[in-house]
Amino acid sequence: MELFLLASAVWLGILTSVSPCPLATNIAAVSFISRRITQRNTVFLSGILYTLGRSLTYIVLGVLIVKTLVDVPILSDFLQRYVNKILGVVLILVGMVLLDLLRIPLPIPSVSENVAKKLAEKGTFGSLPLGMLFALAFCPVSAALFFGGLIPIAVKAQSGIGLPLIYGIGTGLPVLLFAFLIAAGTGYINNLYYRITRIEFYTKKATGIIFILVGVYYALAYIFELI
Amino acid sequence: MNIRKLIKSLLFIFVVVSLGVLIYKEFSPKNESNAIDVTATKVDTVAVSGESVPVPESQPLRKPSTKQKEKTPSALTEVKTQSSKVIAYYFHGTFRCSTCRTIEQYSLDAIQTYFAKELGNGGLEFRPVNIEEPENKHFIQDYQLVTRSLVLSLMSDGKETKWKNLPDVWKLVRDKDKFFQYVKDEVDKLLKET
Repeated sequence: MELFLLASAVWLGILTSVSPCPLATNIAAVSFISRRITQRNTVFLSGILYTLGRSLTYIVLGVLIVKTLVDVPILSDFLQRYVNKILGVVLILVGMVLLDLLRIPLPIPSVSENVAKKLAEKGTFGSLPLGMLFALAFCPVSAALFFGGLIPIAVKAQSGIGLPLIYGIGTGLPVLLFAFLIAAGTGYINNLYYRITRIEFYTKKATGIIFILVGVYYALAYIFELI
Repeated sequence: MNIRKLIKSLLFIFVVVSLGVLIYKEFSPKNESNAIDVTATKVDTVAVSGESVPVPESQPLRKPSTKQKEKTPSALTEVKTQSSKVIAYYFHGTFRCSTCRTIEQYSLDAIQTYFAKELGNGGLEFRPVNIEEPENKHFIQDYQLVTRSLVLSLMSDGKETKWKNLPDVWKLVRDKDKFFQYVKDEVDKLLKET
């Protein structure tokens, strides 16, 4: 029975990630994770952090719903209505940072500049908040699968943490797999033909451009309601 | 370098305009009252013709709905005499995804295929509703909606006596025959109680 629940949670998660509607965010996620395309370990770590970020969001929502009496329809409506609208703007700004069009203003420059630089160099830890944010961007299909599929099971099993965690891993799996395949593939070619720095220069630019395009898409669809 | 600056400025303008439109749409009271006006007339047309919200995305629904329009005069007169009826609501948001459109189309097709008679005499009605419009917000609570949904509502003497959400539309959307059968069975069950 327990195993059945866990399997359902993973399966619902995988269905969520391969459904067409979060496709745009998935493309952004794959490109972000595989940005450090020549460093397979970094890509892998980044993918795991991204997946954990997603799980974290689902756990917070799961605990809110299972342990407190949050009204599920209102929560679902709120998230679908507002997160997608803000997501567009956030993605454009992140894309601009990735393209070095924008610098993040730091409150205490002298102390944190070094730290921030290191973080930016690594870039890996950005995957965690990215996963958290993308998980919040519910669309009709993912809302049906999470609020309509997973939450009823989680409420029945009184599992506000376990099942959402597993579900989150499920939603991250295909993205993670894809990113790793790309990294593994290009890493191999790279050894033969290209210079490492060159490739990473382009992958970072590509990620920035993809973020901006996805952001513009979200803004046009959800704010201007044109698509 | 100039191109970079240009791109940067353009993106900034886009972001600012987006935020502006977002805030304007959320908080403008004028806009909200407009929305109510527009949707009030929308609801009227829906009630009369069973037609979908008149936006481009409902175009696939146009053809069937004209068929319905011809029947509406009789439908309206019969509604008054008939004490109970079933309303099939399809709830959607402003942003329409392709799966959601399929669900709406299948639901309408299934109902028109199997229940032409009931649609004609007013015993059954198909109503697409945008839940993101202020005056439709209560449906979210009424029917505990978490996403786009097909809900059947049994009305007798102008009051709702029973309703049922059909959550399996999401599972069956890839199998048209099963989807049709599911909608047919559920509508049949409720129609028997009228």
